[in-house]
Amino acid sequence: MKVRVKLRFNKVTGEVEEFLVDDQDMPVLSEAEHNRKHDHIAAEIGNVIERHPRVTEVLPADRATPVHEEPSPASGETETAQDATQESRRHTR
Amino acid sequence: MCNPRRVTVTATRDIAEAWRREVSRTVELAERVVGEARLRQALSAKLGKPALRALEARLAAGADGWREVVEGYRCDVEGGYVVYRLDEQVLEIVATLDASVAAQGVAETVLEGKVKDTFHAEAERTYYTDAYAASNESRAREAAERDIQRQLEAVTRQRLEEAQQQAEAAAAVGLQAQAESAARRQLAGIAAQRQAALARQAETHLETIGLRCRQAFNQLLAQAYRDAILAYARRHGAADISCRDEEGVLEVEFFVDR
Repeated sequence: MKVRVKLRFNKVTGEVEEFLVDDQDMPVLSEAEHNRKHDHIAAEIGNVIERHPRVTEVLPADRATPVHEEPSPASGETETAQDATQESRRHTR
Repeated sequence: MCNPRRVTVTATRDIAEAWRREVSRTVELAERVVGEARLRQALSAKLGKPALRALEARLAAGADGWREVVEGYRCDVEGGYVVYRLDEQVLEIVATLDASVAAQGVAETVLEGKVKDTFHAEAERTYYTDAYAASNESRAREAAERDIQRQLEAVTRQRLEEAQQQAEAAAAVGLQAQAESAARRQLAGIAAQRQAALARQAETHLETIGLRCRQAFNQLLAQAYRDAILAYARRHGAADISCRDEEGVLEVEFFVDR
């Protein structure tokens, strides 16, 4: 699966403003299998910057808004702060 | 005027005088005390391993504004600092406030002693038998006796002063140590109180200092993210890699087959 990866990190706020793994191929697998593989790739790439990335699907209707706005580790207040970066995947089918 | 005559008077004095002297030593000590408030964040629980490795590699290579310290790497900001603790992989933000404190210690004692000694003195005066210059033997003798009194009093005072100075010199080291010890105790108490007050005050600055620290850290984190994600891209043969790092924003984009 060919994917486009886009990372946008705001150095002022410490937020990962966008981390998108966008599939580029025409789907040949079933939707469930495609989603599973896409999630696996998104998690693998998300693991590069985040210990426990959360993968969420960005549907075309969501594209008008930022993929996620959760703060990166650098903006957390304490060790218990809930600031996991989300890894997003987007379907193009 | 005939030739002058001399009259010589000698005297011996036995003294047994007690003396008493109050002596004191004062020591002033000062030091700077620092009050700190801390905030910890475990990066190992948040950052992916590649990003964390890239972060440590950047620090080891000498990141701008960061310097190596015993516990890891430190970056100073106005009013505090941020330290990355290498062993724990923890980011610690520290707000600091410092102040100077001083304390005084005094030690006092009373020294007593007795001087027993025998002093000899001799004085000589001249006179003229023809009463030249209104002098005669009687006046010359009286003057010589007054000289002797002055000599004996001076030597007695000197002997007493010497005895007291010797006693004070012998006591000085101990007295100085007592005063210093008292000053240290006093300073420790004052410093602890001031430090606690500064720490409480620093707590209220933690949010502001934290912001400065994070801004400094975010510069480093951006480099680590870039290094880590680009390393991933290259390792997997990514194409069309683009990287933009300007105006406070890092953007990386690439295409990869997985």
